[in-house]
Amino acid sequence: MERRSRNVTGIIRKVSIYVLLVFITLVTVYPIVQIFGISLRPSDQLYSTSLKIIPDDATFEAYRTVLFEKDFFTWLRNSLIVALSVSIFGVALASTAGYAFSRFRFRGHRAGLVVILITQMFPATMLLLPLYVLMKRFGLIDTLLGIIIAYTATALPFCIWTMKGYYDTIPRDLEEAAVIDGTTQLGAFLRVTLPLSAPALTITGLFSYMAGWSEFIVARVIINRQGLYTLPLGLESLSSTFQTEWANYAAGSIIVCIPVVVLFLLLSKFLISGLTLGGVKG
Amino acid sequence: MAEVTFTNVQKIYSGNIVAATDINLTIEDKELLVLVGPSGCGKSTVLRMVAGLEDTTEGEIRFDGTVVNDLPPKDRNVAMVFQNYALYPHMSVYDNMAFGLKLRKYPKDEIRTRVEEAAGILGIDGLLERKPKALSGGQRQRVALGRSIVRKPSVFLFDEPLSNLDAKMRVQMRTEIRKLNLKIQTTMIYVTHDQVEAMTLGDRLAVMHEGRILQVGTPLELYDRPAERFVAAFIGSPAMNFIEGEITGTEAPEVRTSFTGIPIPKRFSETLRGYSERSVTIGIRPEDIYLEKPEIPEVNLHACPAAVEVAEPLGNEIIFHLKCGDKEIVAREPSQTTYSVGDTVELFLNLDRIHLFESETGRSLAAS
Repeated sequence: MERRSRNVTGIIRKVSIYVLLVFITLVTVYPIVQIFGISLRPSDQLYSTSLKIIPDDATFEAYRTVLFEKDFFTWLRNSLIVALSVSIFGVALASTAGYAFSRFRFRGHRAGLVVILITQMFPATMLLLPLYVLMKRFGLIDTLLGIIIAYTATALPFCIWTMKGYYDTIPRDLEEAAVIDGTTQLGAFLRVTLPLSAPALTITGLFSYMAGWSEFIVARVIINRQGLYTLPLGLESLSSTFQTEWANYAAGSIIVCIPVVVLFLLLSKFLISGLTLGGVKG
Repeated sequence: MAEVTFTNVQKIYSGNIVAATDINLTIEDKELLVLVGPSGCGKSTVLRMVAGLEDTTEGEIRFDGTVVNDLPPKDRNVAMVFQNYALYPHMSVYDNMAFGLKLRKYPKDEIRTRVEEAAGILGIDGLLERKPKALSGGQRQRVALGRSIVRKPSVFLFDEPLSNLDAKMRVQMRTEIRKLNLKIQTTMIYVTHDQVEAMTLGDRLAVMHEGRILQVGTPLELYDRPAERFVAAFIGSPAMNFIEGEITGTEAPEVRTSFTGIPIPKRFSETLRGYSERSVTIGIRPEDIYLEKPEIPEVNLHACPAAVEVAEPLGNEIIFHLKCGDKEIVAREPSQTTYSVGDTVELFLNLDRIHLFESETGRSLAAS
């Protein structure tokens, strides 16, 4: 009797969890599906308010237009330069800074960590004006380097904390063993700690990459020259004061999403932690 | 092969925390010396100073007469086995063992020979391709030992290597480490808080307490002639009984305790000159207390009544917890002793085997 009632509660629990999951999935997926639908609209239905997912006379014309009639590949190149640079700088700086915060005690250790965290509390829009002034002074307006620096700076705090947190879980004994085995502190970091931090490095890299790939507002302020447009700026340029080519806009958005989705799928196996299991008593 | 010498070594951490002080010690070539003491006594600090993982605040550490204070760990040619094994999780067993040799740029063939030889000694030949997480605790510790052996270091350091193993595996690995020491003939320094491990493994033991080395000697020297009350209490299980009292009388001096007057054997009379009326502590090991009068010729016994509180039969012996007045006494008896809880018995203290300590300092008042 009791077992049966427990069974029933279990089933109810399961069902409600799945109902919730299905609902959340719908909410998440619907806009994407809708955008996909819009991207397939032939030009005579551009301003249609129909909610049909696959429109009548669906066509890939918009994709062709975006890829070959607009400066898509210029935007793509710029975005790749920016996003890759941000992830390289982000990973390099966060992995070393996080290591220092995790392993060494120095004057300003705590204060440094707190200050880094506090910078995260300011919304990016608030920083726009000072950022603009700063970039102007350094002559970095209308340069990709300008936004690379800005993005790296905004991505770093999160990355440093992630790396520090991850290093904290790696026992120091491993590095000490490596030092006794015949390497230096730097050698131990490079040969032991860093390879073991792959999951955190992946997250840091991905986060930095995203920061550079999809950011709009800072780029809008710093970049004016069309030839330096990144993908978000380029997409926005598709909408003009008098007319917005919704199908092109949607098609562009879908194309921009694809590399990020692929990255996530490829890296998902590195995102699981637990790589340090077994090295020490577990 | 190396002789390790400490001269006035001291380690003070920031905030004036003294971790080790007045360390003067020579560990002979090929010797297995055990540093033993309760946790926080500074034994690991001493070991880490030998490894070069900690600086010395003062004093000198020498390997075969050469000062190594300023040498980084990699140039000291020491190997260390850690309590939590510290195997590199991302490397196979083979790579774990080969790591140190690769760093030193040994030729590939030589590395393979050495790793296989060490794996053979430790019986882990079949595990070389595995990752550490696929190993049991005992196997992991063997790999950690192997990683040290392949390097042929001049000094082997062990930092509580068996603490994470279960009781059975611990006993087994203890024997293996001892065998290893005899086989590879290398100086070894072994840190543990477990006095049984210390007694069974060490050629010599150094007992540490609050950053100081209290006594250095062979296991039996420490057991039979402890220089301090702390050493006497630390070595031996069940621990030595301590009975506080005051010395009275000069002709036939005895220690007046809360429950009986215990006569002091003649062998102490020289040392105790001038100790009249002073507080001393009598130390007596559980096996030197008898519940039945023993048939040892010419033994010096002192009898007093006691009540049995707890009896712990261990198979080969029984540990009795007894009450003499307000004092609890532990006695170790042969298994055929048949008293049970609540019985009143007559205790016999073997006076030829007692130790005397100054109550104030804990120093031994050894018979001269």
